[in-house]
Amino acid sequence: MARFILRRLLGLLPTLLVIIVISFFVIRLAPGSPFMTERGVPPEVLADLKAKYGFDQPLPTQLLRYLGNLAHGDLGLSTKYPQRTVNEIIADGFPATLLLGTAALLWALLLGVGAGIVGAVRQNTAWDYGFMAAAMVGISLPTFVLGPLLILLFALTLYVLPPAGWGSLRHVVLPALTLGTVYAAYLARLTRGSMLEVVRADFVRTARAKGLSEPAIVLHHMLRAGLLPVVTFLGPAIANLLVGSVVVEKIFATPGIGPYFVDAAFNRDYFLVMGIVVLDSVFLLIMNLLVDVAYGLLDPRIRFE
Amino acid sequence: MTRRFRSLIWATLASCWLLGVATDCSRGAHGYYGTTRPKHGPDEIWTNLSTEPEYIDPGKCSDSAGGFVIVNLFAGLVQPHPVTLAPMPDLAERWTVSPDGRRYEFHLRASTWSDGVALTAHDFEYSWKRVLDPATASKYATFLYPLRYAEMFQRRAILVRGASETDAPALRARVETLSPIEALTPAPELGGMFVLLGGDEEGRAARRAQVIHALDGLTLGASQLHAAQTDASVVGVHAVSDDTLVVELETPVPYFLYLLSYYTAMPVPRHVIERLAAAGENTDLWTRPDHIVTNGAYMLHEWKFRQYAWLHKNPSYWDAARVRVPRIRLAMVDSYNTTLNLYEAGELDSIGPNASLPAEFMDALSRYRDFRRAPALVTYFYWFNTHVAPVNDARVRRALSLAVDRQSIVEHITRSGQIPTADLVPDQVGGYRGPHSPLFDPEAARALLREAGYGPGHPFPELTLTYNTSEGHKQIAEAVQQMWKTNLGVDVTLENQEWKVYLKTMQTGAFQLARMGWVGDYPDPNTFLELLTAHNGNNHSGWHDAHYDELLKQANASVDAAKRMVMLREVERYMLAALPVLPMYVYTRSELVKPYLMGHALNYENRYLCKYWWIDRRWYDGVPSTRMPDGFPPEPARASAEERH
Repeated sequence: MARFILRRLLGLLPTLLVIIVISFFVIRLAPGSPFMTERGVPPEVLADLKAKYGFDQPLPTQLLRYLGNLAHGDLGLSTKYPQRTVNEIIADGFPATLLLGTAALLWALLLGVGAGIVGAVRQNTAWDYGFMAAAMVGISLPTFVLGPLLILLFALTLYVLPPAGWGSLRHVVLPALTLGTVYAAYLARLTRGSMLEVVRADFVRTARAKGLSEPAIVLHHMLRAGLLPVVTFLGPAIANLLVGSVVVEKIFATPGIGPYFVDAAFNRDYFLVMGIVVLDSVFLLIMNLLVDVAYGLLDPRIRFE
Repeated sequence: MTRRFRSLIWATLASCWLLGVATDCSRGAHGYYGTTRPKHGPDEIWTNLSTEPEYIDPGKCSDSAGGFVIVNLFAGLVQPHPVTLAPMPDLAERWTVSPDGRRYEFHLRASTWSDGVALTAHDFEYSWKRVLDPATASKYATFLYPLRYAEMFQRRAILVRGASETDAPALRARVETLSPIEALTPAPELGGMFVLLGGDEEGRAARRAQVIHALDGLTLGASQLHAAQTDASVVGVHAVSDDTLVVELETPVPYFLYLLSYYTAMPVPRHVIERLAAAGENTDLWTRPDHIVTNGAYMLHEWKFRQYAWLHKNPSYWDAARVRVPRIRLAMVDSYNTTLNLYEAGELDSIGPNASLPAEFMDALSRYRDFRRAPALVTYFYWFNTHVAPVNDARVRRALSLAVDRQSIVEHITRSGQIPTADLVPDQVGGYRGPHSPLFDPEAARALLREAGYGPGHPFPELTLTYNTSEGHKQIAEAVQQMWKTNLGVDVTLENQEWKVYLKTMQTGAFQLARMGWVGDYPDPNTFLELLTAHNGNNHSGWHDAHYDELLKQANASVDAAKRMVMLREVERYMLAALPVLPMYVYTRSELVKPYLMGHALNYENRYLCKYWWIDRRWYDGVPSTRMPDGFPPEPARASAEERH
């Protein structure tokens, strides 16, 4: 398995390089520049600003320099926040996004997988209908509706949680619920569907015949088989959760890296855009690799070749 | 239906009711928006910056969030009155102005930086020259362009000593073999001329070196030339002693003191910046909490990137006795919904100067007692590109302007009490009264269009109106589109562009009509009228009129303030006859401020001076029946600290 992982890791590098090169040129193609404001700047000043960031060099030279710096872990300087490097900006925001994403993920797994199991085991009962109806609502309810509803209820009516901000675990609850719910809804439907496929499978019947307890059958035999599609979904989902959500982080004023996806592009903050793209790509590629590994662990029919 | 299903339905109904109650009971207590009991102690005020500032370095800042922080951390020579913004003494105790209005002598009071180091006139000389130094790349250096030779220094002009005005043609011919010239200006006090190079910015540095090399030592007529890049020593600011600063201006600038109350003119601690430089560190980092030293009402205690900042009272501020609240917390929440939620819950005591509330909220919010509104020094207008047909005809431009029902736009679309106007300069700015052009006259508009030759045989071509993507601009553009169709039969295509793309479009002049909101920098009509001069880089109309430039120059040279305002009105009238812009309305600024937050003035320039803030403690126990006086200082008597020779 170690060889498999190593080989796959090496395979990631060319993919990453292609992503970086394409993004590097695409963001530069956008009209406008980071230093453009409605109030004009004298050309002499503009020239100095460009030189400071190396934007006065030809694009291929800039790309090579960027790749060279990247190899040393240097993501460059931000133009929007000129007193910070992109490394600092990401290091500043990433812990918040990570905490929020992890909390949302736990909530999604707990609620989604739990509801999926109940729905499958108690198929066609009020439990099943209730959970699946709720999941349908959860999928259709965008975060920018759910978030404000939760704020209205918990922060502005019951006064039990802060409406926004960051700094304590109480600040994490509402954004995590908002962010996790839609994933929980997907997970519930996926888990239920894949569990139903195995509920009448031979190995489950065998387990019953051996006299195993119902919880043991559900958790050990059915869930393991039923989790395969869930894992496929979880890979990209975790990558998404960990690099942040534009909407949820804006609604709850979470100081994470989510909003940079949009803001950095609008500000033509070239290096910040690139930093976020690199981070996101690395996460996505690694999570996909982990999904493949998890397949091998969960499904005895798959071997690492 | 099973019993379980019935209970599910009941549960759903119950949660809907709960949400309904939530909407009702959280608002409207005593007619205020949200809680009126201060959530934090009387020693703290929490407000919102809305965004992480780009810079809190006075010399480099160009964004309003940074400006908010700076005016509370630093003190300049003069400070604005919190309500009227009239300049009052700050570090300068008094000053004298020469009769021609070109020389100021400021006398500084004894004061120190927050680390105890003495603050002298030399700090000001250093700070202003730092702003103008092209290596600093300050985006707002133009604020200091009134200083003598400031622009020449910042723009790296070549100073050719030994050349006189009679040598100009020969000098021009010699330089033009090497590089295009933007301007050739005499500098008689320096015994030479300035050569400002033009052409594309890319190769300008190399060409400058070539020109200097070619001119230095050259003999022109009778004199030998010495050419070099202009250095800081010629700039018109000099500390003649620790407490006296002499400032020389190119031409008299009637609003000069207003400029000095702006953050760009505030001092920076030379000793801290030079210490960082000596240690080989990035000098831009001097504004980080671990290095920063300030001289204003507050010090920077803590800064959490994109989260919040804490300002603590600066005991060494010369006027510290006036500062009433020891701690100010500045959040950086950019969503207006989130900001309103935080305000409602009492987490914010005011929504802050940069929270822009959407027009749809205005009708509802303006009913609350803690809602405040003030006119802002901003005009909303459309640029005409006067190089492009059919708007290259002044009659067409005037027709289009007269066919816009501005009253209807402010009543039904913007809905925040904006003042409809067909003038560019907001009325009452610094005592100004504008020409009050007619707002709406579709009959006259149609007549003008006929006069311009358009009619049944010669239909008016379709226009394109460009604006930067925003719901508000779109609604206005659609209304204008409808008005032109109805009143003139003119068809308009609307085109929206993302902000940076839009700026590029403006710069390259690739538009017919384009929207703009111009923020006045100081309360004087010149800040708007100057926009239309030929050399102004922000004049996107392509309208260049030498007579207009001359009229404006004459008006500004007038030392009699009242007479100058009358002259400026004529200047504006002259411009409005050609109408390179289509003014729409004057902005207002709306804010929510908790009733217990006192000393919080809304002024038309969005200056938030925390040193006047305090909390009316009676609100901790309930709603008091009376309002206390804010305790603002009296409006300074005109030129109280100023003597004229």
